[in-house]
Amino acid sequence: MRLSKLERKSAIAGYAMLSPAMLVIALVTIFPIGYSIWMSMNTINSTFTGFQFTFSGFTNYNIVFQSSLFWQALWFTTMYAAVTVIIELVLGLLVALALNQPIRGRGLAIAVMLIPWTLITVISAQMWGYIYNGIYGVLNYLLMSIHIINAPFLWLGSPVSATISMMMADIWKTTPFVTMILLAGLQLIPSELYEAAKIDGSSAWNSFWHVTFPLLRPSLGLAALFRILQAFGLFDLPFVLTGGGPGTSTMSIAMVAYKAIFNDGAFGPGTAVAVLTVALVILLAVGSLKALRTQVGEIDT
Amino acid sequence: MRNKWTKVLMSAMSASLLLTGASSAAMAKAKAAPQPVVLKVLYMSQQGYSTAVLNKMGAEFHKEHPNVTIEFTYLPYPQLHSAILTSAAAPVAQYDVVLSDLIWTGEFAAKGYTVALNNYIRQYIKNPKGIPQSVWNGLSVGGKVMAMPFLANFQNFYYNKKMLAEAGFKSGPKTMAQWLHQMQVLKAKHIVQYPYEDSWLQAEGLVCDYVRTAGEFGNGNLFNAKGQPIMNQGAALKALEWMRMLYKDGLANPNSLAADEPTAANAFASGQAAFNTNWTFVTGIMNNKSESKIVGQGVVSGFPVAPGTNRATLSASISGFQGLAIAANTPASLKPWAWKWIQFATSPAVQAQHLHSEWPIWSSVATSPQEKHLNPWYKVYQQNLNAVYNRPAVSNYLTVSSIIQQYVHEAIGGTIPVKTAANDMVQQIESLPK
Repeated sequence: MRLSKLERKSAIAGYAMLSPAMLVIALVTIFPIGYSIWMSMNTINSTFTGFQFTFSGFTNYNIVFQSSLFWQALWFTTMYAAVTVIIELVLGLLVALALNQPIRGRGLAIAVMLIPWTLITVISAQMWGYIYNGIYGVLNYLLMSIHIINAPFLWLGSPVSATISMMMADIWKTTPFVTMILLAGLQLIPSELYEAAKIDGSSAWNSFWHVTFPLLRPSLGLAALFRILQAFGLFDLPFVLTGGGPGTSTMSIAMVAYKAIFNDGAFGPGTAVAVLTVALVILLAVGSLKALRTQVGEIDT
Repeated sequence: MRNKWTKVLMSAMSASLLLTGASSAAMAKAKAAPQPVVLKVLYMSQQGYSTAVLNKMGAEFHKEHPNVTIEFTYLPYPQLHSAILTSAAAPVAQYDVVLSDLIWTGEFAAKGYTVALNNYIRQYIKNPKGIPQSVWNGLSVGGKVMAMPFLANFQNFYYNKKMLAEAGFKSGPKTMAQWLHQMQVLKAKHIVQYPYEDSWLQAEGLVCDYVRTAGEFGNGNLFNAKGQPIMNQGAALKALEWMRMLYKDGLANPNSLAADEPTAANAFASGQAAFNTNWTFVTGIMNNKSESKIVGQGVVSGFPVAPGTNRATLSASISGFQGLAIAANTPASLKPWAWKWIQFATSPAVQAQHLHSEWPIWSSVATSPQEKHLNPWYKVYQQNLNAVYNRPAVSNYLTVSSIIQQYVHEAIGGTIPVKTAANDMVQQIESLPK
């Protein structure tokens, strides 16, 4: 299809107006990603004269694939993302359903609920560090006061308890975000559908299962997509709370990249981990979006 | 066309000649009245030499050199190394003077991130012997002094004399066997549930405690003279067995595995531990009414050591020295000013003004009447300072350290048997690229 002269002019004007934003995106997103890919294919020496690159193909990727720490961190990040996202979706749904009722103080409840989400992760991680502290931690104090435990428990001292503690901190912080997305989704469902279901004698459970849930699936998918992507970039919480320990049990892939680059000065393998993480996140995003589109399509039909 | 380019070239050359003339004039003027200089200094947010103390030093320096302004950037310790690294890789230094921890000395020297200060020291420091050799050693590698000593931090042995008296002991332990006995008695008599608290969180502090404990058993060097790791033998292995035993027998608080230095200090100051091995800041905390429940009960002492070891000092401590270094990519015009600032901040006169903040690096200041008045433990301080062991001065220290942290932490917690952890540690360090 050929564009008319006016349309061509308008298209050019459109591109011209878009170009500053595109330039910024290219500079702050595309260039760093491209440069990282280039770095990941080089052996890099860092001296006071800057970086010295020697092209080495896929050697860095080979190093990464042979590293047991990478596979362990990948497993940990995947497991962590799956568990936290599922729990956050269930909790977020329950809270959103409660907040969707015409109750008094709903606005205040939403505002209070959002506080954890507004906190910077580093700060909330530090706060949870104090809560879990074995000597002056509030959690031990509370549990000992009500005689659930007899002696202080070292929450961050073993791989299992440290992982669970970290998950709790994450769920506390991120459930409000999921709730908000789901609440927005719930408010888009026409009330007539519930009224019709009521007239048909549908129970509350049936209304939820046959009306709410199918119509909320796109919102659930969207919330899950956002959270999975965030969870794969997990860095600040373990960095502050556990430092990746005990041992390397709570080390995420982002931490492996950071450790390789800034701790070990292994820029090549470090950026290879970062590139692999980006690739994984893009794959997950594309997969989730496809699934989401299918769901929306089904509902539209 | 060619004519046009010739004209452009000629104009450019004339312009550069004019500019060169102007800059020569400016340089001549600079000699008469110095141009304003901004020196970017990277320092650490910490207690002791705090941001307030450093800002004050900067203001004093500015008074002496009105054309020089010190622009400080304060970062928490975990961010310092990566900030120095990124600044070093930049075309122009983001920081002209950086705080250099002694554990980075090997790496900075090998990669040339900072410059050796030998020439400056030879020329401007009249009495280098006024700084203890142990401090110079920590900040030097292969004869190159990579940072001018600024902060002489080291660990002391702290005990609660009231608790020890209740247990029937008149003084603190001198040997490891005595220390173990005292801990066992304190626990058996229920004077304190966990007699000892240390900072065994999987972090750098754990390496310090490991090196020091190995030192208490006679050799805190984790690498031999050939540069090979020796954690699976001798004193280093005994140290690991000792730390595991204290944890297993409930002599060390299990919380030690998640405690950093301030947490361990708080446990001691709140009367939850009879012993603490920690940096010098504990001396201030234990006698501060607002922070301590044991005011007047804490004693600063030399470390207990295994019989027949550490004969010269009768103690074994660990160094935490910090120095001031000049970044290699600092513009040449700024390097003399960078050194002037370093010389000022590390001078005996300036350090003597801040005795409340830190133990001075200069022996003359450390033994001054002022210091003796302020710090009744000054003799013990000197003993422990002379007894320090340094962490390994290897160019890949941070990687080595993270391996040590991981295995020592797991060995203490019992996830891996001590011997296996020691062997794995050595094997993994040996497999690192040289």
